[in-house]
Amino acid sequence: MILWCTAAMFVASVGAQEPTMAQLLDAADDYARGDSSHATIEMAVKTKRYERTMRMESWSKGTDASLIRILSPAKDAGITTLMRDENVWNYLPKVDRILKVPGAMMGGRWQGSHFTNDDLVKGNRLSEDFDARFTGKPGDGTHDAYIIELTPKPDAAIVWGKLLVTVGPDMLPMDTKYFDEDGTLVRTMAFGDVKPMAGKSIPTTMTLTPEGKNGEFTRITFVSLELDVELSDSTFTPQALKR
Amino acid sequence: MWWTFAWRNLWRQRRRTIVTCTAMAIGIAMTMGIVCFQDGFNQEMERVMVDQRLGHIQINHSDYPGRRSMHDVLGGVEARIAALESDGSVADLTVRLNGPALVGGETKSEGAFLVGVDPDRENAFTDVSSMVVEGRYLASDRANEVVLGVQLAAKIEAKVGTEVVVVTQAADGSMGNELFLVVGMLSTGDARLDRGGGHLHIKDMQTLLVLDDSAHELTLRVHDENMLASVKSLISANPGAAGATVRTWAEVDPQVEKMLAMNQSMNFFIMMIVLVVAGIVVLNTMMMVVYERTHELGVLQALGMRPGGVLKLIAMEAMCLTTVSVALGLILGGLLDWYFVSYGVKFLDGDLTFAGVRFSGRMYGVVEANMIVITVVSAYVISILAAGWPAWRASRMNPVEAMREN
Amino acid sequence: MLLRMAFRNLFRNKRRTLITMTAIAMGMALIDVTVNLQHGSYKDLINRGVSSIAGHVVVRAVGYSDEPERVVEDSTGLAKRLLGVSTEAKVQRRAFLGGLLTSTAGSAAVQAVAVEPAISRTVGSMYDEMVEGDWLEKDRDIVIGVRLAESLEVELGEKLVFMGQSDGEMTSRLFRLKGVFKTGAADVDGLMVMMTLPAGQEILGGNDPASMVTLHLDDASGWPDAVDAALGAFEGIDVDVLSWKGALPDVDAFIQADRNIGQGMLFALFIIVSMGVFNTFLMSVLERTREFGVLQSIGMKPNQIASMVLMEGGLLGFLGVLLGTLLGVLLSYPMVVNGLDFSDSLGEGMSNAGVVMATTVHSAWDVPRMAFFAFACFFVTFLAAIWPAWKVSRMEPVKALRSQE
Repeated sequence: MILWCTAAMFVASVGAQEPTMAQLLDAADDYARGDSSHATIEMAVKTKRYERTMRMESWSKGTDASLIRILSPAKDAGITTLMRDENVWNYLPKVDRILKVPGAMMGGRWQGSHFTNDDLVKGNRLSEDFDARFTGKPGDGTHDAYIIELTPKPDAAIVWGKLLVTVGPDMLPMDTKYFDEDGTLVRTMAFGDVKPMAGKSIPTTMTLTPEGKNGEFTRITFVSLELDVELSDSTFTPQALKR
Repeated sequence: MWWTFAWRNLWRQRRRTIVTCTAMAIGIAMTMGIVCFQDGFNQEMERVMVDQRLGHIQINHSDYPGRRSMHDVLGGVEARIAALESDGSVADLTVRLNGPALVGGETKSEGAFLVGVDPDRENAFTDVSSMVVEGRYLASDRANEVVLGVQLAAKIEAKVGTEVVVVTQAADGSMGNELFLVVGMLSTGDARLDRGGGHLHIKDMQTLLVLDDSAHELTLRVHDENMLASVKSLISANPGAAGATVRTWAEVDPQVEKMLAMNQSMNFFIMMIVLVVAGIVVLNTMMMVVYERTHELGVLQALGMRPGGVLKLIAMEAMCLTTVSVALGLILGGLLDWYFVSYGVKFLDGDLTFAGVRFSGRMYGVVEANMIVITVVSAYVISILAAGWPAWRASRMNPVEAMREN
Repeated sequence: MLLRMAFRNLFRNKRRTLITMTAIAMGMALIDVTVNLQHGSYKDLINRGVSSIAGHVVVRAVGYSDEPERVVEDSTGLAKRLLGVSTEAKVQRRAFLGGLLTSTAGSAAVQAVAVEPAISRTVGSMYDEMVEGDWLEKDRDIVIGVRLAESLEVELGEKLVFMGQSDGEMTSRLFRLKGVFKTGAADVDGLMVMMTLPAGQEILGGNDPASMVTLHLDDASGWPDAVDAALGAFEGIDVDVLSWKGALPDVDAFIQADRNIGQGMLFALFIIVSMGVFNTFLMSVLERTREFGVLQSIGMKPNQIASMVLMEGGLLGFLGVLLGTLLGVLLSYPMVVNGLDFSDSLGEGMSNAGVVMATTVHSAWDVPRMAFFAFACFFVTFLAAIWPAWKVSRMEPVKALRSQE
């Protein structure tokens, strides 16, 4: 969910003039409440072992429910992942079964990407889980973008030391950096390729790059995006996965 | 002449000789029995460890032992097997492809560690079908079958005859998923397998993991297990082990090796106690025999026998006495060993689970020729030492004084 | 009078007495050493090992053995009830949770043990195995094995997120690494984590849950009574009450097997010893036939001589056993105090059925069995005196006098 949220937060804030921190985070939360999306995306994964590209269709409603169905390659087509709250289910069309991912396996890679199952369901309560402050603004002399530092609240179940979110003066997200508590960069999510989509200009790629893993990355590209689509809550139930 | 003299002396004191011989013989027999049981126990432990878990020699990708990553596989495994099986030093082998998986029953799923095996080879190697507590083991050919650890099966509510889905993270990043028929349940004593593991056909596992013709582990049994180091270098040169790491079972699991070593030193400790006790018995018997005859030895010296002669006579008597005892001891000990070897000793109702393997509660003895030699030689050494001291004292005694004794 | 004579006889032939006594004493001493070593190793396993994953008395949910996720509710109430069973015992509540532990460097599947911080310092935890940091105190604290700390690249004070499952729902909780333990057993050091019971209960949800409430005795030998008392105290309550044997059948089987084998060894040792004693004593009496003839000819009745021989046997046996026990105690003492250190040959620790075995084995005084073997040795010496005594009692003086020796 972290990718959806980070993206959604910025998608929602496009067009606002000189937003305050509260506006920014409120916007993310407002988007989360009752809003929904439907998108076609491409995911490219490069590791030292393999490279693979997948096309998927995704639906989301609020911050706590989303559904991703694989369209290609043919071998994996139809595999559907449901994420609700902190739970992950997979529907496997070949064997026609729905499996819930047990706790001990939440650390596994999702579809061979650099996202773990855990990543998919974590980080979906930005304003609840983090304290935010500006560490830079365009025109402050040293920066040409908004830089927001997100520090996990003391009790939040988040391993990161802090997140640094960079937003361009055009109000489009540039990247998010993940640091551990020693301040060492662990991974970077970069946003790029701004294009008009769903009636707005948004970055259409998100690239996750883990540090110290020569050239490995996972890149997600929006092929199409619709916002505020009609989706019933029953779409996001394990029972509905087979449909 | 001297031997005849010594021998006749021994039988002059028939009662004493019989009593002494019986004591020594029983000491020897008991030592033989204990050693026979201990050797049987140790060999059985090592055999079960080797058969069920480790093999004599394992061949892996060089990074697999340290990282245990799914990607560190041996390729071209069919050709490797063929090359190894044509190697004269290899007795048999089994091949395994391991991987974490999600195993799902109708409603519940659990993470598991599955092992892809060639069912016929695995069964010949580990006799795994004897550990199937319900249903049967895998069929020889791939047939989308799986056997699950009993506790894992209970957790996901899977029964023999039902289907489970196995989901893996394949080597190419895709999600392997397949339905398998549960044909049996395993109870091996290895908690990891019983609680969270299972076996399936290696071909099925290769498909699930997208690792064709690959394996993580080639486990061999060799003909000459006592020469593992040289056999290891021989196998390292086999094309079947090309570019791979070859390890003996002690290198694979140093803990088991240490445990067996500790067991051996513990046994050695016990054996030493037994020998010391047996030695004391022999010592005090011989001392008694010689002391009681101080008077007689004095007479012999008075009749002109030199001190060296007395020493020689007593040593010879001791040899004769020991020989009779050893003969008797070997017969008694042989009977005891025969019983242990053929009927075994039941030391526990049911089975004993230890360090991930399961032993029968009845152990059979093993006769090791060198241990019998050690026991017999010890008996001779101890009795000669035991006779030597009083004999030496007697030989140095003034004949008059000696005659006055007793 | 006879007793004094018997005593004087023994003293008169110091050498013979000494030899026989040495045989008895050495045999006795070595048997005692073995007995105490065996007893010590079981005691250690039952006292400490058993406490690490169970207790001497275990209260747990019905059906726990099939479904280890099952918990008992209102564990505080159960603990109070269990404490009523024995005033000198400790009672602790523990919860076992499987889950995923995540750091910034990665994640690992782990088995968590949630314990009460105070009591876990004294019984059944990794408190004694700590190599870094401090023991649990607050509900944010977590203590993990050294191998896990390495693979997660986490240092003291750093964050770890535990994700567990209860009733099918995932729950995550933040922890900070408080300490690191090292048992030497790879499967424990790489898999086990410890947290406080409130933290574990927060993840589990429900009403004051625990996986087991256990009673730990200072002296494990009192467990059968404690189990009986607990069975009574929990009558009508829907929980299982078990002894450590019932909770850990594998450990019980291991001890039984080892004990049976040890018993067999002791039996063989005892036979060797008794043969030696029997033989030595028998000989020393048979050699004295002539002397008995003299005694008889000066008016001593055969029965009196027989009693005297029996008394000599008894006296010799008594002295030998006394000396042997003293020697056995002396030899066992350093092993009781310092223990036998196997860490050179074992290097690291090992675990059996989840119980970490100590690399140092301490002997412990097994008074009943020491007494048993003392009595048995005494009896054997006495037995060795019966046959010659009986023969002596039927002897004709002239024949005896004519005897060569």
